[in-house]
Amino acid sequence: MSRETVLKDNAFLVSETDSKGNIIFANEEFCNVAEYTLEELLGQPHNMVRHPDMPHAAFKDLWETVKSNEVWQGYVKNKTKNGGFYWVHATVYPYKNSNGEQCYMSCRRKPSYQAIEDAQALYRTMR
Amino acid sequence: MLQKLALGKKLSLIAGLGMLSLIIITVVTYRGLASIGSELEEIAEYQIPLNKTITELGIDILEEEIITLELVIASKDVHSSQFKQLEEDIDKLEHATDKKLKEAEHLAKRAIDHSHDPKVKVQYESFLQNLLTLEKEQASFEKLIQTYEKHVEAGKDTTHDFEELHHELKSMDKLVVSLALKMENLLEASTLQAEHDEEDIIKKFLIVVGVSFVLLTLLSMLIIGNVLSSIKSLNSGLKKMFGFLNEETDTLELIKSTSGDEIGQLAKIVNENILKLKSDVEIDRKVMDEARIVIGKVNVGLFNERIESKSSSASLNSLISEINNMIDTSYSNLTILSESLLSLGNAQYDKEIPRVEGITGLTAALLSGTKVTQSTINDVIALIDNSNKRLSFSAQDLSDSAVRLSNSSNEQAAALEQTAAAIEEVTATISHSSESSAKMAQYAKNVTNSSKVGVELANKTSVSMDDLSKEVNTINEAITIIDQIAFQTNILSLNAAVEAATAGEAGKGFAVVAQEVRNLAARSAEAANEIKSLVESANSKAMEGKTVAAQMIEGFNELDENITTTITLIDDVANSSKEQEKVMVQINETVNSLDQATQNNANLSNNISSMAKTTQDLTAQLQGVIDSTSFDENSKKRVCDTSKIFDFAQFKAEHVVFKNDYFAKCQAGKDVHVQGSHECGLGKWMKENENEAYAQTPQWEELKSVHDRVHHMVQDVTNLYRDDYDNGQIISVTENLEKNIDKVFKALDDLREVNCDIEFKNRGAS
Repeated sequence: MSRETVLKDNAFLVSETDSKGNIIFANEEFCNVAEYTLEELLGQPHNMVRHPDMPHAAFKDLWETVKSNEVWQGYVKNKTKNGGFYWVHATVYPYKNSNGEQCYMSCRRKPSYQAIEDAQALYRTMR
Repeated sequence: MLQKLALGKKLSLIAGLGMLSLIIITVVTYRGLASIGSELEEIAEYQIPLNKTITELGIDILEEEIITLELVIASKDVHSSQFKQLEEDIDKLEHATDKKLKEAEHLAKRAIDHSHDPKVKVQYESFLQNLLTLEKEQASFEKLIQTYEKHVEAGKDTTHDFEELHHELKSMDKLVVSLALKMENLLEASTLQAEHDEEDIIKKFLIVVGVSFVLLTLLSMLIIGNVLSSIKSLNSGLKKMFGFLNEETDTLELIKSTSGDEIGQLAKIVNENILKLKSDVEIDRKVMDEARIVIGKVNVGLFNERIESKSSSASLNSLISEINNMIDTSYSNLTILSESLLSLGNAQYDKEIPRVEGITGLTAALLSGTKVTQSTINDVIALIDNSNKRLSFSAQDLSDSAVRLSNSSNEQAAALEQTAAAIEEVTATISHSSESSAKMAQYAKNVTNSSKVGVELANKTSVSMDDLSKEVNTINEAITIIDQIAFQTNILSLNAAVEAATAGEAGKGFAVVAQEVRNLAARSAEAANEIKSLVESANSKAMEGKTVAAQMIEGFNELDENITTTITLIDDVANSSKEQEKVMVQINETVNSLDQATQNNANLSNNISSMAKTTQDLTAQLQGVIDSTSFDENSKKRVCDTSKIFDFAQFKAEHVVFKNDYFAKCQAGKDVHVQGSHECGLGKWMKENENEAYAQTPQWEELKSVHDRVHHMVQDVTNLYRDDYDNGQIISVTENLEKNIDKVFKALDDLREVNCDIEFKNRGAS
């Protein structure tokens, strides 16, 4: 079984993508947990951190929600560069940057143990 | 003259003088060093190599001597390998010596060519002569050695040869020593010359350096003094300018400068800038004054003016445009808010308060607070509307009831009057029956006496009946005798008839008599039977009479008892009547008070009727007021539960305050833990009510989801502040947060509506 990274209690992982889902910003904590450097992430599609256990429907829902200019919230399992994984409670905000371009910002915090269990059970049924 | 020179030229003057001094020093030093150099070159390139070669030649010649001696010693055996070896060695040495001699000659010739000093040249030429002599000697030595070798090999006497060789070698030694001495003299002379030249150079060098130093110092002091005075005047000018810029002084003075150098030009540029600054500052002050006026107006709520003047500073212009934008934004936001509040003031509660994009914090709180107020007012009015309509119906009912009450009160009053009259009659009847009962008591006493007489009579009757019964028995006995007589008579008649029949014709008459007797007997028996039955009947009648008498006694006794009872009863009746009389008086009083109450009722019902009318008027008036307001008709769908109106309004307000409180705590580097969605009033209420019917609806799930989201988003805002993110990133969250707070408001309204639907259905079903 691959290694799980458990987030710190007040961890705050932030990343931003353009309208196509390519990473345009990631904070240090996100890079550290994902085990990538910022240079490795920039310009890459955000699904490079997607874990195969995540059902496609979850991301379909995410993109449909944010593209209709609504906030999406959910529990997400991501993979790390070295094949590990970590769970986050993500909130994805649609917004327009100062140039008027559509961008998305994801703020992630540590989920509760119970929430991870529930999400795992739900995603198992969705796969 | 010096002042007019440019700073570069002044500095160039110093530098030029310095350079000149340097050149002079260099030339003097160079020349001195060149002569020392040529002397050293002489020494290094000619004299030392020559000296070295001569020394080596000396060594070679010494070696030649040694090998010659060894050869002489080895000549005892000319065929020995040692001899042969020495022959070869001496050949090699001769070659080397020849080579060195040539080298020395070559060097000496070059030294002669190189040398400019005729004295030295002569010395070199003499040296060369000696060298040539040495060469000749060497050649003769070689011949001698060859001769010697031949002689030795030939076995001839070699004593003479040896002496010649010895002599030759000695003379060569002498020559080498004289050459070495000559070389030493030359070296000494060259060294002395070099020392002399060195002293000469140092003297010249010191003189030139001293003169240059004095000249340079004088010139530098002059120029530095000149530059310093220019810098001082520039410095004081700049100080004044900065004093003005820092608003320490109000006046700007130009720098007085006469110098034509760069500092003077700098002062000119500064002066030009001072002039420009003066005009810029004046413009900026104008702009600032205007800004102050505009901001002053904005502070008291006048948003009509904008800062129109333009500064020459781009950053100030950008600040002004930001201020103008701020005024525009505040103006439009406050206008929306003011219009919304005025709509509330004008009782237009259904006017939708628009969602303003891009605002958050306190501004958004003002707007959402107004929305909460509007929604609560709508709910309250809808509630009042509902209640008032119901009150209006009730007032109508009350009015109708009051009329009915009034009518029935009047009827009741009439009935009571009749009752009162009836009561009077009853009372009269009762007192009459009271009197009657007294009479009845008297009569009863009389009846008692009569019954006593009756008893006595009955007793007498009973005795008579007993006597009669005895007499009847006696009669019965007599009748029995008669009956027996009649029976015997009949038997006798029958015997007589039989006898008469036996007697035939004779007996015919007798038979007739017998028959007659027999009839008589039958008639006697018959009569006796009749008497008997009569007596029995008399007896039974007597018995009956006795029974009757007994019954009569009993009856009289009963009568007596009854009369006693009756008397008691009559007494009771008399007493009761008296009681009844009293009761009737009370009833009468009661009826009278009933009558009064009824009259009061009638009055009251009139009052109620008029009050109900007033209420109706008031409800109509209130309805008029409600109807004149325009409120959100949808509110009616959700006001079935009064407590929820105020609870939910509180939940809404709570979240506006919640957001504001945490926004106020936001600070870079500060970790803020935001209250979880289950910890707030709404969260606790949801936990307590999760089993209610309305909690099993999609509206409940929506409320839960958006409520959770709002708490998470506030946490995200504090985290973004903590980690010092850009405004753009923070605003991307706060904007979405405001949208979601609106969604919580809507979800709360929807939940109340669905709750009312459920309650309505339940009421319909029950």
